[in-house]
Amino acid sequence: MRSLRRFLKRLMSWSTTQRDEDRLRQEIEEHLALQTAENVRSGLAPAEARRQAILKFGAIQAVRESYRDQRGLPRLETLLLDTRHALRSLRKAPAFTITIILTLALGIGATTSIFTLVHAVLLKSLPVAKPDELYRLGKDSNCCYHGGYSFDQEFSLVSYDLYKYLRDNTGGFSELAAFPAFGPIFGVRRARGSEAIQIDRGEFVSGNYFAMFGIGAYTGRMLTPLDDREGAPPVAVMSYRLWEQSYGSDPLVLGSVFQLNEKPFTVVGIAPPGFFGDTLRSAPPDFFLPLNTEPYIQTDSDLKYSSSENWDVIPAAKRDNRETLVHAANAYLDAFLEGKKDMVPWGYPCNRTEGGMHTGKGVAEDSCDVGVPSGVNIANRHFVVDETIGAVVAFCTFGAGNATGGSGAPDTHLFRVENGKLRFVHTLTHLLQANGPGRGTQGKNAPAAPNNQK
Amino acid sequence: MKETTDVRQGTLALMVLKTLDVLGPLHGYGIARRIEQISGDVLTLNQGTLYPVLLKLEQEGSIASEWGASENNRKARFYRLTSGGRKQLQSEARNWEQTAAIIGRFFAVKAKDLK
Repeated sequence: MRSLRRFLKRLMSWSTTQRDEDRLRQEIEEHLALQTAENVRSGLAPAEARRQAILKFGAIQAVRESYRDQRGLPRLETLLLDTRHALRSLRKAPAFTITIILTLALGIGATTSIFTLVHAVLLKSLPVAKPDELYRLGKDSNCCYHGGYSFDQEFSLVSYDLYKYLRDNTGGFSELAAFPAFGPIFGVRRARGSEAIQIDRGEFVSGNYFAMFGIGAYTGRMLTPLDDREGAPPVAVMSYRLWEQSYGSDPLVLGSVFQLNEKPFTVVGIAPPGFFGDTLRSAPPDFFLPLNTEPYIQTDSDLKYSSSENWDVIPAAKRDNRETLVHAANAYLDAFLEGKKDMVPWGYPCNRTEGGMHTGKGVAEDSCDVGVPSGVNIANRHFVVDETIGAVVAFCTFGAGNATGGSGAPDTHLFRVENGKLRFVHTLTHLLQANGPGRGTQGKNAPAAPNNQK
Repeated sequence: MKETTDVRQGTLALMVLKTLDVLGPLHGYGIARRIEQISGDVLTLNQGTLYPVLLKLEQEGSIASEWGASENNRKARFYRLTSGGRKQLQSEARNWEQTAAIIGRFFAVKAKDLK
């Protein structure tokens, strides 16, 4: 307590510096005067009396120094004096000062930015219950491969049946959840709502997905295995971000029906804030749907688009012969190679349907010439032709002998040709067994020529 | 010639407090003279060293000071004990006596006493 009191007094002493100096000077003067007077009384001459008094007092300058050290906080005072000196020096050399400040600012800024990045990417865990207990099944550290199965990506993709087998027959995991490599995009509208349709990302997840991550709903409930069964009522979990930003955290969203690609889903829960799905993505999913609703929402779209197309029998007089049909199909498959795109006999209107997407808008200008990946060799072409409806089916290997050395993926295209022109193009990507039929066997840089026709 | 000794570290403050306790308010010179008299001139006290000690005690709140008139009618700073200083004196005196007693006992002990 006494030390604290003394410290505070010393801290405040700067305000009384001059007064304290005067006081000490006066006290010393008085002291010497009293000692001198006593010395005179004991018989010394005044000059000698004064000299003796000073001798007895000791070194006055040393006493002053000691007094000053006791009075304030000399280290602090020295620091302040040094700081003032440094600031004055800096003001005298502005160019030097600016250089130093910029160097320091850049250094601190760069360090902070890099650490922020390292923290976000490397140090911060996924916002799930036990991130250290999560494992991703597969050979490589990177998820996922979109173009189909290949030897290089062993176990990066598994079929739904294999997933179910692993889930039910693998010990050692408390849960084994599944989700597709690729999240779909939905046109979303609240049923009976007046909002315009908005485009949101979704993800199909197995029923135990949230249980595996140990994530509970912010409000409502999460998906359960009971939701992920064929014939279960279609339900969805909405992201906190979408709920907050698009629906103003409206509590009535819970239990509301939303149209996702015109299929009704009941929102049963809101995911907690900070949960953006299983993968770090720039565009995380906003709707989590049970895996088993994928056929319900996706395949039906293909059916719907197909049913809007006219595949009627073509009158015998207007039919193309099989060479014309195969030629049109080959021209399309060649378009994936550089410089062959302009040789495709596009018809109008033309619809292209692929991966649940459809290019047609129902107008005369509808075009299938909307771009294809370039530099892809499509080999092993086998054709099935039906002249009566102008149909050509091409079974082929997509990406055989590419620069990356891949052996390609099995692929199927269906064309409707009228008057030698393409009217409808349907593409279906296969996910066959690794050693199954349809895998390409051609070597690197093989010519893109049809090698067989049926 | 009389053998003299330096003032031991920390004991000067105790002497100052006791002096003020016995004699009441005093100026620096008075305190210095009193200490020399009591010690029988055995202590060599550089009188100037008293002033930093007085300042420290004042900062700690054990003593207070104010200007007054000395016996030769000059302006002098008079120091007096505060109630906190009195308490401090009591506790330090007790500690000193204990320490002195313990040391005394050590010196009194002879080898045969330990057998």
